[in-house]
Amino acid sequence: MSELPEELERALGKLDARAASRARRVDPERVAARVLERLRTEREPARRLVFPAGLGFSLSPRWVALAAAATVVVVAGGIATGVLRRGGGRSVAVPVVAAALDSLSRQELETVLSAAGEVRAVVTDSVPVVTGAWDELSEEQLRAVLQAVRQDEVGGGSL
Amino acid sequence: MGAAATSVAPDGELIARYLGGDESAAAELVRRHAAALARYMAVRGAPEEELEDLAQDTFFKAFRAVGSYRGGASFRTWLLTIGGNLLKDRQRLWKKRATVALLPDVPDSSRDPAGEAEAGWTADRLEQEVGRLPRLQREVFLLRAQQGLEYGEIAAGLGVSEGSARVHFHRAVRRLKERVE
Repeated sequence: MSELPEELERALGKLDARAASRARRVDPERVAARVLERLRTEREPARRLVFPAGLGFSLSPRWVALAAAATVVVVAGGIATGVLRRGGGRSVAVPVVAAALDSLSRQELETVLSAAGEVRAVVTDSVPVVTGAWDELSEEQLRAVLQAVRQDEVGGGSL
Repeated sequence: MGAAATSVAPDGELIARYLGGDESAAAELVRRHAAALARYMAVRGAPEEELEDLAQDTFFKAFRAVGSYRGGASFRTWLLTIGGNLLKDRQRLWKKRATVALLPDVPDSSRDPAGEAEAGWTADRLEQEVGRLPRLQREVFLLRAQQGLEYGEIAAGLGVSEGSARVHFHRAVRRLKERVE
């Protein structure tokens, strides 16, 4: 405080007192209760998807969503490339991934990038066109995306 | 662990306990920092009726991201930084909705009518001028002058060097002096 000119310090004191008076309206107990409630209800469900026998792995819905998002990024890139090469001969609905990337942790972002590099995507009509946010997709929709990609891989398609 | 021990547990310990699943540790962090957070947002122009929601959203965001908190700055500084960013976003939204007129002109019973008419420094004038400072100058000024934080702490919270924090503070003071005197 001593770094400030006296008048400024006095004015800041008044401003701070006024702020403190407004802040008294905030009830910490109520805030704590509501924050905890939101953390409980808005936290992602811990349940995991178990894939049919033979696939031999399970994933949480979040990881499925991230992998699917990465896949569609690659597919969309492939479609765009294909359209450019063909001079735009075919009209294609390009799915847009509007995931809130800034909400992902560094580890999650790295996983998305890694998945995007590993997925061998195929341009095909069997890949469902997805509109809207990925985190709004149902479990069935996410399964459909993965299933379609898997079928294309088994079918030996390539870009 | 008894109640007395809980009340003096450092923030870092409470964060670790929350990450381990202890919700009461999060509640304790809210109790500990809610008033300072609300005061900081009030002095930055947050409307009184929005303060509780802003505090709630700030704590919610902070706890959701607490796994990435590295402890470079104190939890409070980190929290104030999150709150400041959240408020900035909301203010932008309020401006778009043309409700910003409600903010500075709402009659406030805590204001001193005699002081309003005075020339020079008044709380209102200062609030207005602080709001016009460039972002870093405003944040450093308030974290230092209102919250009483050390420069090193402010620098860690804002991701700038300590020297830069000092420069921002002195520029803020100089600019405020020029505008009001």
